[in-house]
Amino acid sequence: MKIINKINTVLAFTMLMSSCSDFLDTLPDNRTELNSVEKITSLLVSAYPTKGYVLLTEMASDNVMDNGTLYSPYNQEQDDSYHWADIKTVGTDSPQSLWDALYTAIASANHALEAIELMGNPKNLEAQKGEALLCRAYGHFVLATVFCEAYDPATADKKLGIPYVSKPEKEVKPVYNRGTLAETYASINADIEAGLPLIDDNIYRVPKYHFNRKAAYAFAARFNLFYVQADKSNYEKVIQYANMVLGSNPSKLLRAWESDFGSLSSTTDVGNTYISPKSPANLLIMPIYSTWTYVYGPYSVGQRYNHAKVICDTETTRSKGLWKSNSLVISNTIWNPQEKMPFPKMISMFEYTDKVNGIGYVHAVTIPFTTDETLLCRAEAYALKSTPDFANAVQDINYWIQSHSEANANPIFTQEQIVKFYTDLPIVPVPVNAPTERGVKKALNPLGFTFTSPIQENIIQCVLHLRRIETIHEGMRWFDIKRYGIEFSHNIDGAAPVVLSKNDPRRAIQLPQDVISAGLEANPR
Amino acid sequence: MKQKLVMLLTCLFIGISMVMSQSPSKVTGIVISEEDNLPIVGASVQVKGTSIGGVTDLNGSFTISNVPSSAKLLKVSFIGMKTQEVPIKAGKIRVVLKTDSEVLQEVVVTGMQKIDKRLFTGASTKITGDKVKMDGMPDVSRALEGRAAGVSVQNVSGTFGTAPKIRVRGATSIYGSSKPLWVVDGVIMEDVTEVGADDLSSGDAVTLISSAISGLNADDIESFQILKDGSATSIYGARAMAGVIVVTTKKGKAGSNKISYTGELTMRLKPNYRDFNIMNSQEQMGVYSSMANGGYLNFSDVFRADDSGVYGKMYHLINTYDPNKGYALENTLAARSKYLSEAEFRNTDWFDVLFNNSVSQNHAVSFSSGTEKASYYTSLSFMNDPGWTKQSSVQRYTANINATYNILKNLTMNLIGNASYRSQKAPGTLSSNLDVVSGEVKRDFDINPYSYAMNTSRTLDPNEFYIRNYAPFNILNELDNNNMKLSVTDLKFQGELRWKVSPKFELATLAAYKVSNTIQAHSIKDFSNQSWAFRAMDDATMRDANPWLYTDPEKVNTLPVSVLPVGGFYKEDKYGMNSWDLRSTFSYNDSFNDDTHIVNFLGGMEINSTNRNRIWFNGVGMQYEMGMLPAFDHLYFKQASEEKSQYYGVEETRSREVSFIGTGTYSYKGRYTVNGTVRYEGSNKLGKSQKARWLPVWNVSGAWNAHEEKFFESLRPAFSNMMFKVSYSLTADRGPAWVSNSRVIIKSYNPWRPTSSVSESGLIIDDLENSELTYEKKHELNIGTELGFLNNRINVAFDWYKRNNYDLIGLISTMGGGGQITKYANVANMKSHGVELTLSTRNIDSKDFKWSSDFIFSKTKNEITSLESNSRVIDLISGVGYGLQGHPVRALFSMDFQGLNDLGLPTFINEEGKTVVSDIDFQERDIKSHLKYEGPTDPTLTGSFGNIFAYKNFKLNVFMTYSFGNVIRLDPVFRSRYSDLDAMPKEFKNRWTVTGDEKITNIPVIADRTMNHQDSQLNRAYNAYNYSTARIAKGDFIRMKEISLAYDFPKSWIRPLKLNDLSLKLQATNLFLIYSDDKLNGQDPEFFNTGGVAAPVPRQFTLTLRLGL
Repeated sequence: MKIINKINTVLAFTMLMSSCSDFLDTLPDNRTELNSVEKITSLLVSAYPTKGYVLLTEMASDNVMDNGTLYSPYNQEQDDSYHWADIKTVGTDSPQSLWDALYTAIASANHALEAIELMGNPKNLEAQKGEALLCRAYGHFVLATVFCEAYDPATADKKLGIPYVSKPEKEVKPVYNRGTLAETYASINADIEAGLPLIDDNIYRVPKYHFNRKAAYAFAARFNLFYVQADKSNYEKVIQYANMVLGSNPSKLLRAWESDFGSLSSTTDVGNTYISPKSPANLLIMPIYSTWTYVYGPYSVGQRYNHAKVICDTETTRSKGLWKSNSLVISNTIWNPQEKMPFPKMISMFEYTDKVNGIGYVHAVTIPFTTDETLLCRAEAYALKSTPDFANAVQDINYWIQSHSEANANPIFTQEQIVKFYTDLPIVPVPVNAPTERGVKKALNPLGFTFTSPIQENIIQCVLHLRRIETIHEGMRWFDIKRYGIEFSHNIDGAAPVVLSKNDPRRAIQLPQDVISAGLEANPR
Repeated sequence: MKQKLVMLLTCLFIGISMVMSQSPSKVTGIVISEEDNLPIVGASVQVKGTSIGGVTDLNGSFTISNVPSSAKLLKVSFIGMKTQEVPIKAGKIRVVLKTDSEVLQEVVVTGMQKIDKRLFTGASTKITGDKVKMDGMPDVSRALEGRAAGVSVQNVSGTFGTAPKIRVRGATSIYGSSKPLWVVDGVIMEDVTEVGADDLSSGDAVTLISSAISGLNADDIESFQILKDGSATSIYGARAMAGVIVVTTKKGKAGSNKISYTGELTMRLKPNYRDFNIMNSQEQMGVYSSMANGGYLNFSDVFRADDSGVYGKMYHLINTYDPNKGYALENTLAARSKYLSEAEFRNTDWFDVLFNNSVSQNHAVSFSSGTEKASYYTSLSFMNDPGWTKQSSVQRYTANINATYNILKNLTMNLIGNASYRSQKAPGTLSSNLDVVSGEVKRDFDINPYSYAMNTSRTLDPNEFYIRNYAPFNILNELDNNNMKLSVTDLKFQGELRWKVSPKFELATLAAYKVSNTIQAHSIKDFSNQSWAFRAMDDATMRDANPWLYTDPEKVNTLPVSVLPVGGFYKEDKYGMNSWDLRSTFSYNDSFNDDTHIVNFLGGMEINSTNRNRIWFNGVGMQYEMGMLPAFDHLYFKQASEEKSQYYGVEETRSREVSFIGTGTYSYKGRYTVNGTVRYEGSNKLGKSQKARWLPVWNVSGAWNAHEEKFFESLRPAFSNMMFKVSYSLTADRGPAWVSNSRVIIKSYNPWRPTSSVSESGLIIDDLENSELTYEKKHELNIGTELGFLNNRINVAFDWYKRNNYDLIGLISTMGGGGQITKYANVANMKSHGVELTLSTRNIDSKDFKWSSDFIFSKTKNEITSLESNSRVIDLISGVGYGLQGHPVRALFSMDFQGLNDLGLPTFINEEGKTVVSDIDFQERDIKSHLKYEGPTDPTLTGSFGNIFAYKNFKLNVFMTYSFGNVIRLDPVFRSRYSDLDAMPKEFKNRWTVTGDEKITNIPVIADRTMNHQDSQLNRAYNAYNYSTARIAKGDFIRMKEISLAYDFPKSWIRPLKLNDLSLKLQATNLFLIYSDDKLNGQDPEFFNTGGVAAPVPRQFTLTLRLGL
């Protein structure tokens, strides 16, 4: 009897405790758990960063200059970036916001990957796995290009990388190691290689806002272009991946500048057309929170450091090129003011939280991957691979010029014409002391290789010129400056120009201050 | 009780049998209760020294025959009454029994158990309902102000339904709410929606339902018991860190039949401009004209301004032409001067326009009755408040039934049902927003009558339409066309079964179910300014400027159009809460060797489940004038989808708790007592992690009743009571509601997309997993003493405590590998200490005149001992204060004002240590050394001083409350530009006007157009001035909270009217401030003027009539 009582007591207690446990498992609010294919697919919507590097890197690059003390910078970030100073503010466009946004996107990917693994890596989640791997790789790639130096196979195992986070964070303050740049790029590469074959466009509701197959290959192409190998084998991969995006005849896939923008007269219309998912050139569309559209756009703010007319005319969108003067559509689609000379590829889009006071968030829609840019990656790879293929490089250059020009404005250019044009250009001195010294040709000190011939060097000069125009206002010029060790100066009103030498450690933007104070190794200064 | 009854009956029979045998000597009489003057049924009347006696009958009468002639005294007793001995005499003996209030006092009700006060080791204060009741204050929580040491009540808003900010021994958390737990009749009262401590003063509509007990009728309350230290609260475990307020409602009593009526008529005074220093219209027009001279208020600016007043109206009149009458106002200097001088003499009294002197009424009727078998208390009340301000009426109905039935001798059942319904009107309001750039808290379309009266220029004509948001605006029209209706239903059903298995062992089960539903309907009618603003596009300039219009991004070359071509809005918010509680306890009470060893034990289990939901809906295009026909434009939805705003939403939260309780007390002869409590509690609040959800809390304590010692007898009567107690405990709370990430929190969201054609929904990580998440905890040491002198004529209670709060939620910087560089985690610590003193004296205690005083004092100080600082300058200097290591939980800092410069502009020390005008970075996070520490925003000293004088049937109560130690930010009235709508304080008269003034004044110049042009950041200078050392006041005050005069009509007068009681009371509440900082200039130091639905506690007079049948 007594024993039975005891058993009953124990049984009752166990039941009580287990029912307690069920009772307390009730979710406290409308949160959800990752337990279905749909939910994992949905989580990957947030695996794309919502902040960008544009303001930081464009302001650090040679695409901008000081318009003088008559004007003021829009914010501290703009001011600090121009001076390559450490940025301690935490605004929308600060390193801190960028760091948070990228690791947040990575965290979404990691949680999706963890859920997929817990579900036993089923076949019907392979496409999601592919997307998650690509997103994780992309997040780290952006971090590495912004916060680390450019990749040089000779030194990459000595340079600082960034923490490669491949597991969801579960503790309050885990310790991360930056590792080496070689380790970081190797991890990115591994994720890309694992993810690429799994990508399947059928899981996306809005494919252009996700790593669809073409966007994934475009990313792989750019990554390998940056991931210079001592044996130059990376360029073969660039060509291989770019071909997946562009096919044999890319002309139908490039942005049709004349028909898209030739007749438009308002910035809003240009901006809306540029980001249209209907354009075959747009491979991946990524909206971000950013004040960049104010800073560079046709508004009377932030004019202090900007894409002034001098630069526009001599170095970027209106610079002298192979083409007939001002025959590129972009050179005729520039808006005032003169201190900024914007092409409105990104227009400010406002999300109000308080209409009366005009408070809310400013968005910009960025296009991280376009066929035009992938085409230039391929051209560069053709020219740089161990046995250069200049003919194909020249062909890609011509594809670009044709699609960007007004109708029938330009002939097909030959290799000789291209090489001659860039050979004849003077090299821009460092520092620049007068506007007349400005130009498109700057001394190149490529990281990881040396030019094997003047032809190769001048083809690359051409590709870099086209890339500069292609990626104007997108902050990507900064990465080319880093890859090719380009030295340049920033003029300062009332003071001598400041020079960014090829070995300047400030080419790696300083980590957010809070991250450093939490114990992560800072970039050397 | 039963046993006594049996004994009495036995006595009765013995008595009857004696009648038979002995020669009688008969004694007759009546037994009456002093409390209600009613006869007591079943009182025991016994001849002292014999077993002869009897019980009173239904009329309270008794007759005892055969009383031996030697007998001298009768012993009359009844449960809950003081036993009396009366001499036997001829004729009818009238015995008046007094309530044994001291016996009642001796019990501490923790809501879970009743403990003999001698055995209670914790710090607590008991206040009886009728003592604390403040007539004319329908929300009982406000009445606690100054009533208990250690409890501070701050009336941040006086609007009905808003909760005051109550702190028991100060703040216990940095980000958490620090709100005490309300327990009514043993059941925890949950808030319908969780409103944080700082949100209480936000003025948002949701604060109207922030008070968990606004549905409680003050007349139904028997007592409050405030549990303060960990020893008292540990039985409530992981929610009781911030103290517990236990409310016991009235019950029926055996042997008493009573009908009571209470009627209150309350009249509130309108605020008066005399009390504030706001410019009259003449002074105001003087300022406007100097603004006009400074390049402002000219035609081109004001004509198309979004907001304009007298000048805007003038330009509109000039621009209005009627073919028959000509121009509405000639554009001549003479006509304009005439128009402006009319405004100069207008002196509109907005308080008179927007406030009412109307009388609010509160009526409550209750019946209570009982026999030995069953008793009940039931009441109904009705409160009707036509509103102190326009559109602020309230009606509240409450019903309450509390019945106890003794099913068996040892089995008791108690059923309680409460219902309350409230219908309330409020001016239409939207939630406030913080503009992080300028640091201003703003609210779109605010029409709060109080803040309107305080902030609107007296030059305006109350019957005229001016311009707001590009559309016509008139406050009276707006209040009529833009208002909210609230209906709140609260129901509680509760049953408790007690089974005394043996005299020492009792089982009890309590079950309760609570329902609360609130519907908040906001009508923005067709002709409200808020609707008109959506349609205002008189000309192209206005059309391009009006932010309420919509331009389609997907159409090339489109002009802004209205998304609300007709109608207005119907917005609805529904808050619902369903919760149930189940508690089973067993208790064991025993004593050995004739009370030498006393043992109490209570063990049990409690389960609680609460589901809350909020459903909101924005109906667009409601045509109120067309018989409520919705007519919406599809563009509204297109715009909403592009702006990522929703038109309806459903939010649900669920809370589940399980806890196991054990508490035991051992006492040696009632002299030495030790107590221990353990509660093991689990909650789903922190998420699904098994590790985070369980927490044990505990307490150990002891007490020494020195007056029970033998040696104490020699000290009497000078010393009459002496008790010492000490406790040490661990209690906890879950921290702020938004920190619940023991597992990763994934929520759905709509990412922003440029057009609706590419939108999609997704899931996002709302919060990363924090596997180390745990409860916020508190160790507390409490040492207290209670002393009584001169036969308890003087009573002193004193407590000292020290608290160590740890594992508090605070911010921490991480390496950010998970995507959150800044996280909330259990990383902060704080400490606090304080003293509490209650001194009660009966100064004069004669037959006709009585005077008693109560002095209550408490002091609490806290300091954050560890917290990573991530705050920006703006956080530290704006209104409510901020947590910073080494400072109190809510510390307020100021910009260091350095006087005016020779242009009349204010100068400050900025983050670089330079003296500047506008080069100030409010977002700076590293350098804060340039800020001046002002003090805490929570008071450190609070208390009251009350005196009650009773002369015969008159009773005069003079009650003062005080609060010291905090600082207050003055209203931010300075701006770099003003409009012709702004009302300015009189300080502006002393403003800087010519060079040299900077030596004699600190009031900055009204910046003219040139100054604003030369320094585009000038608004920072004026904002910095608003947040500077020049704009701070001490929050100290002494308030004449209540003066009341009551008169009890003599029984002889009212008996012919069949009344047992009749009293009248005239009470003045909140009469005036005896002391407050002069810099406040009439601003109530307790009140936060944040607009929305906030209003100060008015000055009011209440006439109360009490009747008892």
